[in-house]
Amino acid sequence: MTQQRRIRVLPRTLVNRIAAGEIVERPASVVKELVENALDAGARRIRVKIEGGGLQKISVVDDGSGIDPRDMLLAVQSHATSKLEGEDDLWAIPTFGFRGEALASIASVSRLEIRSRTADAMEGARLVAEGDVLEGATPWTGPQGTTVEVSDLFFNTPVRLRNIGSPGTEATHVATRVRELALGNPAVSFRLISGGKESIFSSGSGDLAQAVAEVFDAEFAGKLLPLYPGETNAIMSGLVGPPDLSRARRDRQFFLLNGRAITHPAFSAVLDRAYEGFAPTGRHPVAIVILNVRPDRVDVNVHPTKRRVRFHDERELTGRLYRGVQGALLSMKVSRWDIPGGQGREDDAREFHPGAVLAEEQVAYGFARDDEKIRVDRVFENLEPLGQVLNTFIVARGPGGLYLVDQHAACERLYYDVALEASERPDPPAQRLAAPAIVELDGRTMELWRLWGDVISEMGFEVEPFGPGAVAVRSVPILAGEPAPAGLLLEILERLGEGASSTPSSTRAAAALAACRASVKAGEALGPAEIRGLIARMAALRAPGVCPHGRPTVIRIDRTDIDRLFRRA
Amino acid sequence: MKVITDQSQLHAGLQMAYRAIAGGTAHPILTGVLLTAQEGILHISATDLEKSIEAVIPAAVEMPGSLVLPGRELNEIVGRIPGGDIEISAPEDRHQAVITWRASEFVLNGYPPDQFPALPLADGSGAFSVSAGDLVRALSKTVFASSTDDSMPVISGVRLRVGDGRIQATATDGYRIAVSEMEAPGAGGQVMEVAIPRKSVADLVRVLSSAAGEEDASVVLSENHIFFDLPSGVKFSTVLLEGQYPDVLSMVPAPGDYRTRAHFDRAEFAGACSRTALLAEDHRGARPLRLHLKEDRLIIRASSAELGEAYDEIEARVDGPTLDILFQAKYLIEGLRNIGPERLIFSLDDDEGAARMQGEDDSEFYYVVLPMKPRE
Repeated sequence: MTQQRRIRVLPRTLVNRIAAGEIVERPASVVKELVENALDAGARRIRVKIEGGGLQKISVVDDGSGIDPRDMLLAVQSHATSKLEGEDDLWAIPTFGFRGEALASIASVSRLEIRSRTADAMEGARLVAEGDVLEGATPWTGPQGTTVEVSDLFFNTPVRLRNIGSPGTEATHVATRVRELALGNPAVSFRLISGGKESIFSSGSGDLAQAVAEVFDAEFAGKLLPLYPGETNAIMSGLVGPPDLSRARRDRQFFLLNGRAITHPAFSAVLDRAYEGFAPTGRHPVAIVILNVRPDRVDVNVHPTKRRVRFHDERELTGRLYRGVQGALLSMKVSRWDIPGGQGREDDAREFHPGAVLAEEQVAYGFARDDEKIRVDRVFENLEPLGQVLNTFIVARGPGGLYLVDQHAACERLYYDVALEASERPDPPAQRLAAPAIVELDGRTMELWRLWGDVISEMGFEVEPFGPGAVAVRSVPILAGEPAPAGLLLEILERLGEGASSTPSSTRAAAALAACRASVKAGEALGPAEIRGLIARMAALRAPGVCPHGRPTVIRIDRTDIDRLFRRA
Repeated sequence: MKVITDQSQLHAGLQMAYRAIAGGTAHPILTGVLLTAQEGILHISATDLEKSIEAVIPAAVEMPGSLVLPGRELNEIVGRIPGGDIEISAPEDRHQAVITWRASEFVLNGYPPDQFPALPLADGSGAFSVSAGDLVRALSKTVFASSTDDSMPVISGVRLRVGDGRIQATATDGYRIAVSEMEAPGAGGQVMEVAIPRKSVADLVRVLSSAAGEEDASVVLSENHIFFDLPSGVKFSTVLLEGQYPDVLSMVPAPGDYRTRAHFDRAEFAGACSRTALLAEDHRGARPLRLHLKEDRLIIRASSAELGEAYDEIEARVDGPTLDILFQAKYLIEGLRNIGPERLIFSLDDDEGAARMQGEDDSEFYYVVLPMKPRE
């Protein structure tokens, strides 16, 4: 697999160019370094075992290429690495570790034992280091690959030890690292045994979705959407969560660059942006993004832990990610009514979690039928309204069954989109008023108007001061063909006050508010013409199947489910 | 109660009152009609609590009394009887009517008449008389411009201004104003203002047309209601809009105060607008028509990023500076439907202010429309 390279001491000049820093912060960082070494050695199976959160003992066993006995001693010396030969190579790092610091750093704060055998050698070697004291390598026989055992981490650095969390906390950190590595390397089988119990197992199937199912759970994995295929390629691929999986924290966003987990705030920001209008502000999507970037197009040497990187083609990647997430969201299927006993769908393409409950149907991996017609971006084109029930829902006939449209949610989406467009396109259409509408503002809203006047006028309002406590509205924006009521100004100002954040997202917040304000309320009777008009206008939108808060605007009741309810099946 | 009455008169009275019956989900008694028989007359009343209609027909009253019967069923039964005398009788102690015609007999369950809401009394301060035909024209020419926006209830109807021998109907939604004004010799003295809800206007127009024709209607105003007493005995009343109707007319220039005036053929302009509007499509559903007025021409343009462009021009006599101005197509087209006769005057000041349309020989109706904000 990986070509065997001899280990040598790095030239001094190169050592100096490498960002210095402490690598070994806690057990999880030891695990990460050791696993990355194993991956570099071409391991197909990696077993991590920890005791006491890794403070008592960490062992990493791999089936990789192993270390030549002659190199064993060199392996634990500072800046000894088999991965870089000269300065030019630093800009083309294809492997995980490269600084040659890892084993040496770990050895300096623990009792370290390495046992390894290469494929072509009958006999391997064993080496023990304790603090800075090295014993010589001794012959050892065992399976091909490398085993590294780290005991009594930080035994000689009591200060560091004091800053370490409880074994439970540390075990959690280790698990997080192993999970990331398993997601980043779906073709490698990972096993984490913590305190004698297996806590993570991945089979190394090579399929990202399956790796997600294995390290998290099948139901979660089953809901994820592949990044839009038109935007994925050898460089970027991955999975993104539908709106109902969005989270208050970004703890399930994984960016895996060449198998290594990185944090990249620019990508996180792109995810949030691509999600706007699909989930409430402040919610963050779940995403697992796999990046395979040519080593010479990325600088991983920004930070000693290598979690921060710099991309040469940052703009291209963020654009691709944005469009990939958008495409994934638009390709979602209309939510299907989850009828009890109606699980195990005939069109459930994910075979690895039979019986999982899918509240939301996701993009297909190749099943045909009417799938294109029930995507959230297409469904309204294919609906034929039949009437209204409970003054709240529109009943419609559509591909493969019966559809219920939530009229309020649908209107919210409609008005959100038009209001958003209003704020994004310069010089929007606006109607002059016969008599200026006087809107009374208190001190706070008056201040907000002074602050946000530009945004307000971008939306199509023409507002002038009118005495100390009021403004005169001379023009109002046209929303969905009709002039908006002047009173909307006050509500937008109040909403801008609540947000008090940066301009772009607040404009969107104002758009969302305008949407709610102008929406048809639930409980309002609609005539046949109004219903047809609403459905037709929804069909023209980009993402009509989801309301701006991420709730569905329409649900599907399939023929098979109706049959089941009537016990016809 | 026991009355005998002619089928066609009974049916006409029911058809009239039926308009005021409340729709589906209202209290059941509001879906009924109140029949009251006394002294040779049968009163037929219905109300949905906003508007009320009462019709009277001659009847042989053998026993006075009153009863509420389901309006739709009674109306259908009477409508299916080809003619002749119909007898309606009801025992004192039961809310049930027996309707007989020849050998046909219907026993129809009703409601106790004391549960039927009392109709408002026409005891207001102001009273005048007006030609029903004039009032119909004034209302039906203006009501289209009233607001349909629930957030502006005060302008969701037609404002009537009566006095000094004139009657004026005004309607606006804030973006255009329709005004119809005519002499009304019966409306002398003190000027009074009321606003009739849009929903009641349509019913009032129908009742006035069918029950009064060109005859005079006597009108009484109270604080919350307006009452119409029509020559045929039909009474109509409706609640009034609450709140101060805004003085929108004071905001628009007087007829002589516009700098540009164009004279052209109404039908040609209406045709050009409706044709070009087909390709008028802006974002957010706006449908702007761009008008260009110069010397002998009025040019109408529209465009749509998706569909293409439209151009039309008509002959016009334009006095004053040339002008470019944008209007929502709907506001022009709806106004033009109500303007007569053939030539009209289009008066404008600049591309931001109100524009006025009026027939050259029409002193009864004019229409003020506000442009869209000028675009870059």
